[in-house]
Amino acid sequence: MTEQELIRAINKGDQHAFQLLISKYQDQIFRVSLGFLHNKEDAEEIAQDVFIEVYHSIHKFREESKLATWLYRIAVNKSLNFLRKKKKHSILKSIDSFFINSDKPEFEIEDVSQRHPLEIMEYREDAQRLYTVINSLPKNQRIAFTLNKYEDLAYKEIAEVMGLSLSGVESLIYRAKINLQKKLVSNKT
Amino acid sequence: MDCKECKNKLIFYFENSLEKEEMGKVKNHIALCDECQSALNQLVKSFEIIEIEKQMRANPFLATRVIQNIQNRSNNTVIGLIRKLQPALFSLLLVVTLTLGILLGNLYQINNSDVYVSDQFEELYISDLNQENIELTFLTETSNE
Repeated sequence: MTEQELIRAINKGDQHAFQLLISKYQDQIFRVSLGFLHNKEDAEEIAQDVFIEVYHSIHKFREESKLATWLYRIAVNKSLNFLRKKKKHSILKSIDSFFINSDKPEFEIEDVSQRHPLEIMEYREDAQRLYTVINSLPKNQRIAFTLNKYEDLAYKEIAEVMGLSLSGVESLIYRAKINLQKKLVSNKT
Repeated sequence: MDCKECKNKLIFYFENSLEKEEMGKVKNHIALCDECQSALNQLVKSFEIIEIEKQMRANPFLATRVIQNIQNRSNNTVIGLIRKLQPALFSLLLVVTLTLGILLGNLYQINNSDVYVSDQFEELYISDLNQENIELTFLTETSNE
């Protein structure tokens, strides 16, 4: 089934076509969300929201861009909105954690059973440092970097998702890497 | 090459995106400088974390969940609409009840007037005012005699 046929079928209310679309793009959307949120449950929630929005607004999709580009755009916007809302609640959460003293990290390690506890602790510290640094990047640099590193998107595709020129994306990713390098290296040494 | 220059190029060295000559310079510096080597290790570690994260896959039941969610939301929309209409429905029910009450009340009043009429009959029946009083009867009887 081609992309156009898939879109037409979903527009007609074909649930099987919609399931096909989800299974085709679910990992990509999940990875992009994970790149912003660094939490499996949150990323899954966002992936669900993305597909629900797609189901309700696919009739608005004018096929001017690729379906994947449109999906990435929705995923990026939803992830950033989620982070914005989370930031608003962070003060309440910090008060909460002060009383509850919860040490639960916001990220997970796949297959931790084979790692030494000290190794896990060190990994968590490193991961937390990395996420803090990525989150401290300016918005556009973060979007471009995440799409490039987590989804291995080519600069041209990133430019389409972000609605920027190719040189603009090149510059954003270059600056993102310089900033990351500066912060990661100076944080450790 | 000094440490500052080397640290600025570490990420590109790690990505293998420097020119050949530059790659060689950074490589030689790192071999001699522990600080830059440790900075490079830190970068490598960080990018390994991204690679590990990238291996995560979405829940295989995501499609089922999404479809279930869509159905739940459409059901909730109906319930939400009913909830929104609830005050209006309640007001309508109140108006209907009041109107029904007034109509029933009017019906009761009409019945009352019927009863009033029959009361008058009863009153007439019981009342002996309209009948000939006993004194008059006696008077008539005596006059006849």
